[in-house]
Amino acid sequence: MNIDLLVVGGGPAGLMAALEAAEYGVNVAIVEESSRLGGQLRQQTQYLSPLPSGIGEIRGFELANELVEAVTFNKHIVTYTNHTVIGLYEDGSVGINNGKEIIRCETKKISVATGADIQGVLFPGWTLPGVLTVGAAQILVNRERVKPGNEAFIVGSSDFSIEVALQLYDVGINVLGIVETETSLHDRKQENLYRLKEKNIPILENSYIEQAKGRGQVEKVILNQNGNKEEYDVDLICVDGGLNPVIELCQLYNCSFAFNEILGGWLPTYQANFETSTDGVFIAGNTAGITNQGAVMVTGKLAGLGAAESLGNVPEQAADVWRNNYWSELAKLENYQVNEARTCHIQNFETSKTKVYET
Amino acid sequence: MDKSTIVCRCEEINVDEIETVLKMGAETFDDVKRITRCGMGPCQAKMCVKHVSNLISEYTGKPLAEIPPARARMPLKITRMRVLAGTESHASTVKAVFEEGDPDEK
Repeated sequence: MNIDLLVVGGGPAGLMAALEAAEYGVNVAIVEESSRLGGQLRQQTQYLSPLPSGIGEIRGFELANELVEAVTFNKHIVTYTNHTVIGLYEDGSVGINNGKEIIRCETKKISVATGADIQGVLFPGWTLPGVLTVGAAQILVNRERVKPGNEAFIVGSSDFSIEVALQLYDVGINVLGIVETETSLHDRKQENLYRLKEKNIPILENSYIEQAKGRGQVEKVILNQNGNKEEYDVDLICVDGGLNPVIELCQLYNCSFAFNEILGGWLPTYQANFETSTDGVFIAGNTAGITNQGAVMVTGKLAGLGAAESLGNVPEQAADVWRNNYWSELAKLENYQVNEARTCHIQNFETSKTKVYET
Repeated sequence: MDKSTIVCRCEEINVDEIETVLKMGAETFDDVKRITRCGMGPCQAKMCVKHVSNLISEYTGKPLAEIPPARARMPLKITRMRVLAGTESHASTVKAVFEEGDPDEK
């Protein structure tokens, strides 16, 4: 395999990066470890908002289908599903596992769009069957058509977990409540809060799960709310401990990292063109900071543009014009705080070069 | 929280075991990993890294920004030995051994 740009990850960020670079004649290969492209969009049945301009009202899985179609019919893009990047070789080639052997891929540039890992929540009994992440519950319901339980608590009240709570309700799961340690909920989508009220799903503030109990699976939960303990019969607990950018491949590339709590913790430092401190290594999507789906797509465009420019396929001036456009779109799409944190992260590119573990 | 609460479910390492190595002087996730095997199972620290970092932060008083992430190494994902050893194109003695011992092969 010998190409101009290798995109690692076939989710919205990776697909957009590939499409953008292909616009400028860059030969791109997308490597995706699962059997289908589309990433997390594949099980998003809700309408996505906000989305980049030019994309109308659309559900997540429908958007995935459109992007996959665009990529499939693009003559500059080849896609490899069921292929997993497992590391780098000394000669700079990328090792890709196709299930039978390791393919060594030589690429001029790479765009890491490996997304984010959803984190769990720690409480006694969290390893019992019946405790799932909200992401896993959504995959089971929307993609695998499996109902994971009947009586549920959701732990964590991000927009995403509220969305999943509503989807679980829609398939007939009784959602007893959304457990939240904080006491004030700001920045939640008003529309979702309204829908929760409509369906009688309370957000239980200042509360946490003391313990999950059961023989071989979750049967009971002890909830602590405002210091009062109460026991409930539930067989499903969906937890959302936040998202962590997947940075492993960037570690192998010896990128510099900085800690930015708002962007999701440790992530590679990068510049306005989404290139990291390692030449030719670009990042896109949640790997470059946790944000919403629409913004993820724009970061993909920025990384694709950056790679095309550094390959000499776009003149600098033209690239700057487009880059400015994409950046203003990004500012419109993502949460103000996140955009501020991202701008700060980029401004600190030079100063925050902290190499973590150079061994 | 109950000290017997599991933190790393792949290797079944609980809060108590992690606190013990913190008392021994462990300061990073990789320190904890090397002493306890926490994070060395099938998920390769995906589920426990944040929990362990939080425990380190609580114990040492250091902010999370001063606790480095787990260091990833090749191979990043679970890979069959047979695949790593190579196939026809890069034949090796190791490969021959694998083929002999594998009833699935032809």
